[in-house]
Amino acid sequence: MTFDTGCDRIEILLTSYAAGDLGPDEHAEVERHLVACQGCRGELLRERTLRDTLASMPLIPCPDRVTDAVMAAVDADENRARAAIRRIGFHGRRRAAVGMLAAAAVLALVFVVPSSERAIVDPVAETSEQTWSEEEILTARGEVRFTLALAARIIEKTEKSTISEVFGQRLPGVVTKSVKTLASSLEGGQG
Amino acid sequence: MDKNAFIEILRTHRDRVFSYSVYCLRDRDDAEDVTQDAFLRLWRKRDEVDPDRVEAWLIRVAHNLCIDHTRRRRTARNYVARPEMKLAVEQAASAALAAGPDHGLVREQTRTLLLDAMSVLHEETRSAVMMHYFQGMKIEEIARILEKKTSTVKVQIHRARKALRGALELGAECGAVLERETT
Repeated sequence: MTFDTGCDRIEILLTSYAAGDLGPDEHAEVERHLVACQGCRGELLRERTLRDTLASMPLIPCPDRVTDAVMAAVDADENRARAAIRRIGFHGRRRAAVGMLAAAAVLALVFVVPSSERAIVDPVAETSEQTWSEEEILTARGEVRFTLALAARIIEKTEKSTISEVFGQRLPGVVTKSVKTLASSLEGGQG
Repeated sequence: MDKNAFIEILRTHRDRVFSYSVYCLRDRDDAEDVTQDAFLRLWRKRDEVDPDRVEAWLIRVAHNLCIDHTRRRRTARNYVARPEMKLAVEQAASAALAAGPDHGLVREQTRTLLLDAMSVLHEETRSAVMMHYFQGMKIEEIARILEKKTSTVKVQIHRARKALRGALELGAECGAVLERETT
């Protein structure tokens, strides 16, 4: 077989020619060349042998164990995803509960604590007159945190859904005092 | 893509992906791993894959996984050297001729020697050949999967045919001999 640039080009086109994918111009060009070139006719024969042999290769049935393994992995993925959603949901609800409790604690300071008590211990009035030791602030912060965590646990474990349901109409006295301490220390730039 | 749609895709395409992997790797165990891995990747990327192009996507993933397996295997096993491969091809062809006028057997033997000969092709070239001839994919589709120019894929297939010339000529010769004997 003699090679020239014409044969090189035709040989590359033979794959598409045998697949029937050539446009009319290139198809005609290949056919003209094949009439005159024995080497490219041999190449076309090899192309067709390759095509026929590989195209006729039978599909091999995929074993069921492969499908089973895929589905087991898919199920495991789904279970992990569901568990993750449950975890996110739990943490999300817990964060929301703590946030609600914090807000409720502030509101409780204003609305739940009787006005008579508020009159006796006025954090704004105390701000200008009283400063708090670091220990007192830390203690107050710990008591508020503990109480809110306790309330969150109670909400989580029971049917109760608000802080007023947990503590009745008023916060425990010690917490009220701690909230006031923290509020006034923040006002005074101490917190 | 929900789970039911995925199961349907798995049922529809598993044999094709598995067969492609078996013919590329010539190893059923590795092909099982590739098939399993390809479908699991599909599940995990189910929201990113175009449902109309899922077969091409699976073949592309299987192609990449087959290449990974081949590279790992190449370090673990010694491949048959080219002269020994040529001898194996000739022996297979002789066996086909000696078997008599059985076209099915000749085709089977030609297939065996072709697949053996293909194992010396570059992974990507072998994949292009398998995608075009076995999967029936268009050159343009293969070029997209391999991220090559269409002209590059055409040249790859042309070169593969050249490299497989010995096996193809023996296969064609077997067929010609049988034609003569049966007419």
